[in-house]
Amino acid sequence: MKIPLSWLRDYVALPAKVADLEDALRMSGTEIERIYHPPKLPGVVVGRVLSVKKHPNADKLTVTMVDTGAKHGKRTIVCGAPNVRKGLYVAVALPGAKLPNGAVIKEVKVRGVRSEGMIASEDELGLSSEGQHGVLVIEKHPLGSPFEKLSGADTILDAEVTPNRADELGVIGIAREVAALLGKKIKVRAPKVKFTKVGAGKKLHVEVKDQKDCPRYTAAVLSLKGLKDSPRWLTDRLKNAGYRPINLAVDVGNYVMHEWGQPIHAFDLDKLSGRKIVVRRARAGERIVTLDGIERRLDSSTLVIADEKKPVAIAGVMGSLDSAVSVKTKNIVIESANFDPLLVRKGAKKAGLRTEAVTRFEKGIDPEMTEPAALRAAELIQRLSGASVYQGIIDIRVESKSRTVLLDQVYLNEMLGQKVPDREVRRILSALGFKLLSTESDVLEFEVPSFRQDVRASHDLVEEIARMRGFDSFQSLLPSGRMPAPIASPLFTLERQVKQAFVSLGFLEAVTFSFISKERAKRFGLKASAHILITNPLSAEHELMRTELVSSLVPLAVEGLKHKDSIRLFETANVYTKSGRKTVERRVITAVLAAGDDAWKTLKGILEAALSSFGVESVKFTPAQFSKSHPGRSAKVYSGRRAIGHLAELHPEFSEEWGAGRISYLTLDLESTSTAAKEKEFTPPPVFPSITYDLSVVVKERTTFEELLLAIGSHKLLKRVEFVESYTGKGLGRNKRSMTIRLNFNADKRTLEEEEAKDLMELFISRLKEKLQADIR
Amino acid sequence: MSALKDKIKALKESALIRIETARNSEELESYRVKYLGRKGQLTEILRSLTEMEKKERAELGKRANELKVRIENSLKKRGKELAAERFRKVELSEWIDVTEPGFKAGMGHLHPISQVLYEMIDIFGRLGFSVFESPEVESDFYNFQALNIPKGHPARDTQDTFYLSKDEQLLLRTHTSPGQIKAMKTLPLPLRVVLPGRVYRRDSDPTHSPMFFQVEGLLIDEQTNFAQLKGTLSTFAREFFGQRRKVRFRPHHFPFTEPSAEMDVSCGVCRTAGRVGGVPCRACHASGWLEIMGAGMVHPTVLKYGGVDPKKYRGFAFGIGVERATMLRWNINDIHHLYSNDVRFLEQF
Repeated sequence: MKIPLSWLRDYVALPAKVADLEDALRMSGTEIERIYHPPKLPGVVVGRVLSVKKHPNADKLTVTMVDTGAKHGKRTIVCGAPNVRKGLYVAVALPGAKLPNGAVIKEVKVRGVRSEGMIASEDELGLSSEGQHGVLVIEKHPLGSPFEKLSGADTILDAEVTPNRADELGVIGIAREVAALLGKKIKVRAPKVKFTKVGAGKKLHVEVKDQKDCPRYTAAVLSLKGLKDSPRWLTDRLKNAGYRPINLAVDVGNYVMHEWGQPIHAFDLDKLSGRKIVVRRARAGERIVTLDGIERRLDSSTLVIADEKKPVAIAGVMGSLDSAVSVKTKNIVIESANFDPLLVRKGAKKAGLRTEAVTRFEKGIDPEMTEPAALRAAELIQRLSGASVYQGIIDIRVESKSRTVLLDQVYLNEMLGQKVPDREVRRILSALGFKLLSTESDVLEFEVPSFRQDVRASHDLVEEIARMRGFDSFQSLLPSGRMPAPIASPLFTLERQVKQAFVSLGFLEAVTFSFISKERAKRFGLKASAHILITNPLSAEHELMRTELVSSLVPLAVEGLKHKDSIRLFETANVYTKSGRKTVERRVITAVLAAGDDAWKTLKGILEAALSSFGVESVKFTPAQFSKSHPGRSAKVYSGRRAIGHLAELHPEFSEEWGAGRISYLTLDLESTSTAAKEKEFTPPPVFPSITYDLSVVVKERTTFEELLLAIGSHKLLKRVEFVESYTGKGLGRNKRSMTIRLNFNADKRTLEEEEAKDLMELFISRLKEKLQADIR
Repeated sequence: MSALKDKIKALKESALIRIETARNSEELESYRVKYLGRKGQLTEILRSLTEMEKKERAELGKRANELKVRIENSLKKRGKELAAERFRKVELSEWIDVTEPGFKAGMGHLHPISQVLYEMIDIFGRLGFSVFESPEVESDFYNFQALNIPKGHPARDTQDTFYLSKDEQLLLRTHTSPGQIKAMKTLPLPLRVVLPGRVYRRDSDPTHSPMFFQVEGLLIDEQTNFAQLKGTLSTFAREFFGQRRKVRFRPHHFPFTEPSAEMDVSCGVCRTAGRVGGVPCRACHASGWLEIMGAGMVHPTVLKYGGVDPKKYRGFAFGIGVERATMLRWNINDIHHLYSNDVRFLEQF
């Protein structure tokens, strides 16, 4: 909401310093986003174009002669704007002038022609450029007089009005707020309109089908004497407030809307069939071509303004092209109405239109202001174009009811944590327009002013009192009362632990978006249909809720390899899957490792170390196959019987497609990992010396380490079997594999005799020979 | 007998000289073995004594043992000398260019967003707030309605929503606030929780990202008031941004709280002056303050939806944008750096 200060000053006296006004508004809840100061324009003067000739050396340039008055004389200026004409009054930046954009004007030769200054555009002068293109055309003023004062620029506050404060979407509403804040009086006078003897009701018939949809419909009917252009003061204010001037009828409508916060619409009365306005729901199949030239289909969820035959406006949103006011219009209807906020919102949403009117209607505006706003519009059009206004304003409305709210001062003080004196409560609410109706011990009853549609209950009054006193006036305390027992969140705790573990193992944490494109899914061999779809994605990049993180991290790893030899990257996030009609979210970690040929084994080591640090035991790996994974290097990870994740290498063909070397990845489901994690149990380090033997076993090639362990079996003196290395190739014979393992023996309560260990070794060797046909090397 | 006596004498002369002139510890060790080892010369002599008569044994034994002590002492002395000499040279022999970088340690890096999020959680943890998580896929009811944002409420426009179903009943949460209702419904009162996590809005520009992180907080008790909200959040702000920062609260509007506030901290660069060296401060756009979070007293309607009696209990709630705090901490100018996941970015934190 842009507030030109000269406009605001019409309604309330302002403090000398803008900063004081800004501060008062900001600290009471109306944030000021920006302040525009009028540009300083030294060296810019009024000039008149005497002649325009083509530039001898450039097609798009002209050479003009401009009279800048007795002091600055006539000067040659090269100009590039297409709208420069003989006789125009313009703003001329003389050599030495410094413009708001920092440019300093100098006398220069442009393609061989000396240019003694510049004819300025709105942009170059730092003025809001809602209007003309090319050079700024101004009214007649004494030649050579400083332009700065004539620029029409104003100091403008750009306020962020919160959605509850529809009343502040008008200059008068802001003035009320300022008056209440600074203890000033608001100066609103009744509009003065000269009526003709003929009644408006003779010219137009208005019917409201359902007053729930339209609690109030106010209309003025005017007969025009031609539609003149809006005067400069009006277009200046509109431009400063962010509107583009169009014609007097439209401009006055916007002006009144910006002043009162009441949207105004003007119809060409002679285009209304039957000279009738009916406020009703659209009929199925009805169509309207709105002002923007687009034809829109309507249905009964949309409220329309119709004439005898057809809709002429989507209520509160936009009028039809046919019924719009044009230069030929003789009679106009000024509509100033109050519609159901939800209906306006629906209509706007359906039409895909967000107009200034919609942003006001949808928030719920004061039904009492339709009449003064209609009169204000009539007054301005009459004053500026000499139009006649037909006697009486058409006004169809539900009976106005006053609303009251109770304020319990005990509740107020408890809520704020300190006592607000009764006197203060009354002063603040009275300044805001609330009327004290009655008092009963601590409970005060107030009548709510009609412009505060947002105030409904006592907590709303608490907020009004708190914000007007200023939040800084309240004390700052730490919470008292009982401290609640801490709540465990094992998943969050494990996630944090997992992240720390991977960071300490050299991984970088990535944070990527939770959505992927269909194309990405397809590339990773995932079915788009298995994903939850975003029905209104921002772009095709973000259409599917991801079901895994591999497809997010692999491209990052590939990118990272351009800068580093090896990449360690992980992310923890939720993944989303469908289970029948339900959606399931699971928190997972995926880590990718691109580190040459040993990546898979390195990553497995990392996974084992990490799992052991979380207290996950009995970890098992079983061969598996995943989308785009290496057929010989993919495994599911279990803790006991519980599947907790997987470990795999990308299929070499797929890696090649990405132009990358081997990339391995692991994924853990954090919920199952958390369930699998056990509190660690302390075992004292062995007191008695242990005995260790290495053993190299030659077995059939596809024999696994796990099978080897199974063959050895267990014994109470055998504490550990460690994997040392494995070998295939020369010297072993075809289809053979050698594995070296280390067996560790220890007795809990005595020193183990070497003979005992040796006997056990014999036993294990015989088992290996028997079960795996192993050779011992 | 005298032959043995001479042998001892000869051994004494040669051994002590050799030991004293040994050039390094290996040579010295070889002498120890030569004289005192299991088959050493002196050891042999001592062993042979057992075959002698008592008188002779006593005399020669004395001599031999004296020699053993001398040799031992001499070995020790020379050993020390050699060690001292060796260590005297290490400055040169073992010189390292101390300016040369060390071997690269394989330390990873937590994403800056995580670092900031955990720091926030920890600060609130010290104030008694436990972590409570809730899903990212939400229903319209929990994301809007239960938070006093009914259908058609204009506040829905400020939270442009990603929908997951045509009927718009299923959506990606636009804030962590749905967790408030769930916390109220499932946890005992009084209640202090922080709700961290990913949230989604249909928005993308230099200061907005379609996905971002929030840390939300909720405290409910019988005597909760606005002063406690101020105290808690001021404490947080000073812990997080530094004890010398100032804090201010401005009225604002959120449908789920009333009164509602926004909290600003003083700009760390210009310290509320708005200007640095005569030029407008860039860190705070010359305002002197940085907006950090939204907060307020929980709206009675929201308490009711959470199954909490607003006549008996009151609460305050707050929500912090983690990205913004992260950007402020490291002067990151574009939110999209945080999601670039460029390794050269991630390694900096």
